[in-house]
Amino acid sequence: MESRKPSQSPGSNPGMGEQADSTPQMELLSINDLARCCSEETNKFLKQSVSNDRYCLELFRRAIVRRDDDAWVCIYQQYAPLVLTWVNQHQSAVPLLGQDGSAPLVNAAFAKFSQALTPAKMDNFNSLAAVLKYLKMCVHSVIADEVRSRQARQYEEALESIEHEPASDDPADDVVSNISAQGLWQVIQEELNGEDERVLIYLAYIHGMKPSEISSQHSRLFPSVEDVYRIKRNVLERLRRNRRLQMLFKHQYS
Amino acid sequence: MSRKLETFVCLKKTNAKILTLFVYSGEKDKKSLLRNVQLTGEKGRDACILPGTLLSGGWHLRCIASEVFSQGHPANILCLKEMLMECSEPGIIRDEELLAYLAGERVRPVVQQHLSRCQRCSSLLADYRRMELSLTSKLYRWDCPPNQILGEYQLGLLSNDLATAINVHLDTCVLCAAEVATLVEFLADDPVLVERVSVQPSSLNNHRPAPQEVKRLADRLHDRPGIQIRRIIASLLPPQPRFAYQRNLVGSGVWPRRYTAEDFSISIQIERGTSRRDALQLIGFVTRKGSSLEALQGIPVVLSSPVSAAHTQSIDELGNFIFSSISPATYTLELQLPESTIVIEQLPVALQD
Repeated sequence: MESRKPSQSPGSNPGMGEQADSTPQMELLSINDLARCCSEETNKFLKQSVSNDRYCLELFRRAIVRRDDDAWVCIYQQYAPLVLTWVNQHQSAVPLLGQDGSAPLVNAAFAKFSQALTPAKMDNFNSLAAVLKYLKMCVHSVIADEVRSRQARQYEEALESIEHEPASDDPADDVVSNISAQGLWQVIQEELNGEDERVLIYLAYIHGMKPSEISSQHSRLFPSVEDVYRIKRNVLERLRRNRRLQMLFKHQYS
Repeated sequence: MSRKLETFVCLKKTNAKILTLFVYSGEKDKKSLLRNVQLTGEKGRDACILPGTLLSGGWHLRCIASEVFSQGHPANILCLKEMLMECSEPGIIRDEELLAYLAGERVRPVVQQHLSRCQRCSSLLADYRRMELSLTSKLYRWDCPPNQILGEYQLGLLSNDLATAINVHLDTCVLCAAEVATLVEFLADDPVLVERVSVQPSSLNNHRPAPQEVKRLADRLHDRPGIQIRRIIASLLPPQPRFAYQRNLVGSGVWPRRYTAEDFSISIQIERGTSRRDALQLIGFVTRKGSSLEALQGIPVVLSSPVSAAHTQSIDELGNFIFSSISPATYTLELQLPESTIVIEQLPVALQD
């Protein structure tokens, strides 16, 4: 379990034997003692010096397996600066930073980490590097999901900006408007004929691609952008006449 | 104008700006009320729209269609709408041009001029815009897994079933593939996060005698405690994009897989073996930037899985390695270089159609 330790005994599984031998001692350490040792070892680890992962892994274990809040506080204090650095390094983070700077993303990354890293998954990590890699993955996850979410919100806001009719009071409309995306996609697929229509509608409305992008990426199906317009127009006219979709559109207008 | 309609509407002015629209079905003398709707507009006049009657006055009538659709008269009311809102200059622009205009593409100047004065075409444009935004806001990336799952896939933490499903999705979704590529780049080149190789005796527990190179490497690992061998996780490169409807075709299109790890490129193909009915052979091709294929000759390649003994081969003079008779399973493949080990995790080897 020790990282970069030059005096590993020959043929041993690094750290495993030591961990087994010293587990009772680890168990006896208080959170404060663990946090202090973890801090020292993490500093060595970050400087790529010889370090011992056991204290940090035990701290993570108490937080994740035992759900020890004090352990979580220590982990946050120890690794928040590192997570902040990662947030600032991420190529997509800058547009997401608001008045509060990177702090909300740092907190969200820790929240994601604590939520996603179950005791069962913890068994996969036998080094501090592995746990921190997972934490760094959580940083990316939070940022990338936020980018996705903002993109989706743009479509919703654009729709809201053009709607001005009063809401319907027909209960049937609520049923339709609450249809899941999967259900809606199923309804749409029933109206589509042929590969070209399916590809076009999938790319246009699930990936949000423009006609010119669709044409350039799939020139076999759509030799020119005019082909995209033509097929799209045909499909839209068909969808307009689908009763279930009409109710959805009507509700969304309201 | 000569089309007969079973559905007709009657407008009555409520005040200067509100008009109530009554939708009836049946004959004029035996009509039954289907719906009444309030319309708003800047102009108002009492009007009874019978088949063949034109409505003027500039009222906004698009809700006629949606209201009557819900009562089951879509075809009639579409005709009615078309009659009520005719293009001021039919044929001057095509519907496809409306979509191009909607997409922000360049269109003929006459399109914009026409839209500014033609109620029918501007209304159709508004319909298309609403439909497109309704669909996109509801459907945008609805079938994409969250980035947490993509990340766990990349780190090899998912179950085999879920990893296979994610792999198939990545085969179809360029957006998710791009997010995974960003993650790979984000995690790469972080010297802090490079894991030291764990020497696990089972990884060298081959079912056949290990080549000399492997033995020498194993000896080195055991005889030189604390040796600093980096373990580099290879990244799966996104394949050619595919589409949702192709997602059930798990077998097709998944292979060959291409991986990259620092300056190494590894291409892997799976083919049906010849020895047993369910046997497969895994064929690999390795290249390294700035290095000849001969220089790679002899590098040990270890293929292991939790359910079978490890297999060991070495790269030949052409950069190839072949595992000729293996069973379907999820494997880990390692290229054991002197200074590091390149690892391909969660390699799902299965029969293909």
